[in-house]
Amino acid sequence: MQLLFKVGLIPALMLVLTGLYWFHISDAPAVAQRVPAVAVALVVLLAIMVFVTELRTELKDKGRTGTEPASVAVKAWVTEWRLQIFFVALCVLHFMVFSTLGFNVANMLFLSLALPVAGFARDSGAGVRTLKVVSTAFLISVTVYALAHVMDFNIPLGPLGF
Amino acid sequence: MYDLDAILMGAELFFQTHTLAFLLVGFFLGFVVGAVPGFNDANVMAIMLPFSLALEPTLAIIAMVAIYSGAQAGGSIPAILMNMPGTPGNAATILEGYPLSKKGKAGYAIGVSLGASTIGSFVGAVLALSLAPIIGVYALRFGPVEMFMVVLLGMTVVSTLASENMGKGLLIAAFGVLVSLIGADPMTGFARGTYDIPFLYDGMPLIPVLLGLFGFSELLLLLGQKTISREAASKKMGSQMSGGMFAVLKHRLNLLRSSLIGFVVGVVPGTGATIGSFMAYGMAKQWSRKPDEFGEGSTEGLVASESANNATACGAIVPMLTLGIPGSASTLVMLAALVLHGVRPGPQFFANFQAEAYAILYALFGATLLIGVLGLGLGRYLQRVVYVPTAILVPVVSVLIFIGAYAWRFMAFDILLMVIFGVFGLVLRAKRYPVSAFLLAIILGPMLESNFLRATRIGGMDVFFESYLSIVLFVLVILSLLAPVIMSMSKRRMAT
Repeated sequence: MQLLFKVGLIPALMLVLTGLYWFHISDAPAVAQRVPAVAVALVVLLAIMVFVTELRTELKDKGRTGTEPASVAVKAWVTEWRLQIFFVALCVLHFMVFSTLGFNVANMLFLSLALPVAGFARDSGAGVRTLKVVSTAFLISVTVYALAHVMDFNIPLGPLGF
Repeated sequence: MYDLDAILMGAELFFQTHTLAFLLVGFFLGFVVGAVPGFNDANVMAIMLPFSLALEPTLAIIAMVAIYSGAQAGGSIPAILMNMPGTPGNAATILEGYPLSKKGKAGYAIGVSLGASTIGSFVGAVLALSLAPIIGVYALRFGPVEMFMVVLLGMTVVSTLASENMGKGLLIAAFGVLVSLIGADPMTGFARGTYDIPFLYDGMPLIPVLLGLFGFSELLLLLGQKTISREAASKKMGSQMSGGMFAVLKHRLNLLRSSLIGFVVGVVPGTGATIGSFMAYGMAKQWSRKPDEFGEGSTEGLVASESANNATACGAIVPMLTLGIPGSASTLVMLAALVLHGVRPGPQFFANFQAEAYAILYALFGATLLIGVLGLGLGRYLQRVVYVPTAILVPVVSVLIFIGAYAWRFMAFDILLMVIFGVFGLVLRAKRYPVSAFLLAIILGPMLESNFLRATRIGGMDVFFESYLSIVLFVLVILSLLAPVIMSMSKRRMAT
């Protein structure tokens, strides 16, 4: 199962997304389907080919594949990528706040949370660390606001006008 | 075809204090902006367009040429230091520049990049100046059939760059074509693969995708590290850069070949620096005696991509001036600037504005000189970013990337799209799929489709084998697919 996940993740993901794409254009006029149809056929063919060749390569080298249960493997994967998972969650939060509360609040909030996640001022005590994080986040937010203002980026402001 | 009076009048126009001052300011702006991921040359030129109306047309275009050249050279700095191409033309630079940076050779890589950029730009400028009046006539012969073949060639060359498995490269390229075809079909208006998301109706926005695949995915990988380079900071960065600049001279054939490829690709309308640099990179790998070093920090690969993208910038100006057809997004902005000034570039441009046209071409030489001199000075300071703690670098650059993604269309949705492509890029890297092949397919997909449909509407499938040019390009496509197979077979033979 683990082996299938390892070699089949990307081909399977591409097949699913390609299937969704094809389903959506199934009612399209023939001219709009012509090039996508060739690309879809190529994706299906190549996904199967890549999966089979990768599986054969992995099976030849059985010693490298782990035998632990899937739950242990998932736990190890989450532990390994936990920083990235947190960071991506913060980026999605930034997008949500950006759309509702505006550019400056989103940046300030994102930086205040992302700096500690990235390890900023890790060696300092809790109080000093908070002070450093908030002041740095504020300084960067103001600088970025000035940059966006000068370059006329039409940034959204929050309900309170900043 | 060549008018000596016009050549001298062009020189007189160029060698004026205020013209040189605008060249310098434009180059500086382009270099710095090129070094910031997300703010590409076309963006800045578009923002500057209203201001340029206050200048004389020639002066405005010279400033834009300087921004364009500066951005191509400066864009290599984040590509080398942070794995984020400053401009789309620098996408191929990351393949060798960043591995060199990781080895503690950031200064050397920037030196190589600047040296190759200077020579590539010089070769491009010489070719542009000498061939501009002639080459435009031949570029007119590139119809949809030839354009389709050029695009296909660019994609197959890049797909074969997948070092361990060509199938992975082709799979990701085919998938990239599908992603590029999301949005309204240009002929029927049918929304393909949008699932009623209105922000995707205009197609997949390039900048958020590029920032996600290259920039954001790299930031995610940097989390947990102390600095980008794990090697100790070298105190000899200055000498490393000078060494890198001189190391370029050992690759004379590669330089000339890549510059020529870049220039020719630049002349073909609508292709741009990305295809030129990837094609030159692919050729360099196929011709190299040490192809195994590619992807691990090969000087040859870096020389090829950097000389080609700067030569492409010079080549792209030729069809803009001679035919009124922009060779890239940046030359499209230049074209708009000329039109807004009441000047119509096209076949008559050289007849009516000869001196001005030559002054613009001289600006390419001026920019070449600035890449070598000013670039070396600025690069010394900009390269130190590789030793900035990632604890501060990652969040700050993330915010810059958010703005870069948003500023392309002023849509918050593009930030989310950038994050999605960033995560996808991370997964692709973890599973050793070539992200560059995916990106190139997204860039070229719409061009591939439109030229295919136009070509087949004219004469069915037979049309692809009716012109000699098309047949030659088709043979090159087949060769690019067979080359890795032949090379691996010859390697096995040599091993036995």
